Amino acid sequence: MFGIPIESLVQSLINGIALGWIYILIAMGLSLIFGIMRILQFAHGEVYMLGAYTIYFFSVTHGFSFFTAMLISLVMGLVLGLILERFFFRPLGGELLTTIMVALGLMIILQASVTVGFGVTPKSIPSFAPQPAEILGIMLGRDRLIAVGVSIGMILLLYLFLKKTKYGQALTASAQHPEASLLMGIDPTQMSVIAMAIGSALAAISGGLMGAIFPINPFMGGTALMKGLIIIILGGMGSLLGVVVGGMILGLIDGIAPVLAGPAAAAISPLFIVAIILVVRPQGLFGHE
Amino acid sequence: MVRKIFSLGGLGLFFLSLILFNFVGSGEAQEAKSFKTLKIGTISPISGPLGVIGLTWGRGFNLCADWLNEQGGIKVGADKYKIQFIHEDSKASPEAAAAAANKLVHQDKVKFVIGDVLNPCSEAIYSVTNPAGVLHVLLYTMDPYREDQWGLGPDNPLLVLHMPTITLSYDSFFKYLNKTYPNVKKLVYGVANYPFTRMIKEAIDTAEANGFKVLGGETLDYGWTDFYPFMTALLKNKPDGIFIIHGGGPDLVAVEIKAARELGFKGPIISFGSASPLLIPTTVGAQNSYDIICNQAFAGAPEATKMMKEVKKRWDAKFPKEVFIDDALMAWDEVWVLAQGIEKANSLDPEVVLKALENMNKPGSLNTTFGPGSMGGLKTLGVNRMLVRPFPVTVVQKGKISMVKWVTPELP
Repeated sequence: MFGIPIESLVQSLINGIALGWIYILIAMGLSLIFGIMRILQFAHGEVYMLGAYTIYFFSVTHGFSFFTAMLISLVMGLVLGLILERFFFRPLGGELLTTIMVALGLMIILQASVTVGFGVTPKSIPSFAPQPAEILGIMLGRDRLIAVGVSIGMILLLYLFLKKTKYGQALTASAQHPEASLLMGIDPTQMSVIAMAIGSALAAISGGLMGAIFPINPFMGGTALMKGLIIIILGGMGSLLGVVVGGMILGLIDGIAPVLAGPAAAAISPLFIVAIILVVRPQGLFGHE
Repeated sequence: MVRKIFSLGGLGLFFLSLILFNFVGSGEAQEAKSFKTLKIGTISPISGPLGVIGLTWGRGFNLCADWLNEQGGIKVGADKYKIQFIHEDSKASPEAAAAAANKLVHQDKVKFVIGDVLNPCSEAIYSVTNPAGVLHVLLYTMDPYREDQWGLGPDNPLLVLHMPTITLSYDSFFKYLNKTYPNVKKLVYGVANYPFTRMIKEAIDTAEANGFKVLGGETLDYGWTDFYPFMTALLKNKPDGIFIIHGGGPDLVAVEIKAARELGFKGPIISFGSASPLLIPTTVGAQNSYDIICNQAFAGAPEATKMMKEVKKRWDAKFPKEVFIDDALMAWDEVWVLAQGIEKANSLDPEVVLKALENMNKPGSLNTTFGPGSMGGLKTLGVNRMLVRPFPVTVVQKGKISMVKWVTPELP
């Protein structure tokens, strides 16, 4: 196909799927926060970046194992989410403009803090699984495969939490019908706390997984936020299935398009698809009117 | 009574402070009188995908200026000049580079401008500096032999390059590869998507002259983060070895090598440009950092020169949170060589300084962090305006970096 060996295409396909699952984690958190709190958390990318730096700090600087550092990063994400909700977003009462301003301010403060603490030069977290994996004669990065496993595990846990637990069901209800859920006695503040904590933890984990694959820098959150927003627009606001499908589309584009059509096409094709979706189906592939 | 004593004491302190202030002030004035300021403009990509390069070069410039200023500044006749840099961002765009050059030349009135790493940006800078009689010191050249690009030559006066082109290192590296890895026969290359046509051709020709078969190559774009697709495309040729002509930046080369190793490539990898050896083991991981050869120095190696160690020591003291990137050594030399040219010329006139530099063409007539250097290129380029100095063959093996040999190229 296009003069490219099938082996290269399959490799790119699997690479795209791996990236897609990490993107899904980012977008899932963003979607959860938007669904419950009705705010666009522009500093979500910076939580992702902090997740990566937490892993760097504990694994590279202090010699912890990657997975211990990732656990610390997860807890950091949860705690940061609680702090952000309680001290930055709750006092604003969901007011659109001030919320955007605060999120943008947080973005700058967090970027600047990491720049002061770690410098601007990109840092690297050594691969946690540096040896390649061979599947059907195709070589793949083992750390990417493990990242897929971790991402799928996290998303399954989230799914089980949302479907099988009281708090999860309350969260879903609150996202689908805020007024009705309030009448049913579901505390919206408590839901916001849970959404922000889980969303931030997912961002921190995805930052760590991405940090083991690509170098990290204080400004990496911008790209992550952009990818998260593209996925949500593609999949539809508030739809978990939409996030998974949107993430997979974006991952596949990032994996295959550079091999098939070059980097320029890879960069613009997601935006092109988003533009088409917005015209044809503004609510996204799985969103509701 | 006590109040009176206090007020008298206060008055005394006031006068004492006046005397001290006058004393200290006169000392500063004395120093200001003995030192003049030499403003030098720099233009490099501080922001954008090449930001790491621009930031590192800027730090190298500043470290060298601090060192020169501590040594007593640059001597011109009876005057001593302390360097003051005005750094501008080219944003890797010719338009921004030209605007920065205009500001430096017409507003800041500098006589010397250092920049840029990309040829189109350098050409834009030169279009401003040359008509104004300002000496333009290049940071890099993409086509030293001017087959299809603007660059060093008799038709471009007031232009000089204070670093050797990477093409001068090709032969030594392919010979080293041949000798160290006799089983390696088939090579592929990677290169940044920029007008490197002649540098690519020269690399292929040199590889083939050394008995290798070059199966093909792939280009990468500045700003990429994922090099799996790039490496996948390269490795489809089933090569024994890879050479990266220009990997897009010191941080990126390491990621490219990481991708190659993660995709199962076990052969040697040569990086001719823009790798920083120190970033390789930290990015690729010690386990996968083997058989990697690059022409960049490692100031932390025991084989490093005294000046390289000095630069690293100063970097570590000033930027303790930043990994030392070896581009800082080349940045240091840009300033150091210019300073030596000015002192030799005993003038700040750009044309006189350039003439003095052109005449520093005997081996060892210039000092560089890498060892003794000189200006060369009269026969090849038509002008003696490219710095020739030793470069190391740096090898990363089991995560350990060592400079296994030094090569002094020739540029007649």
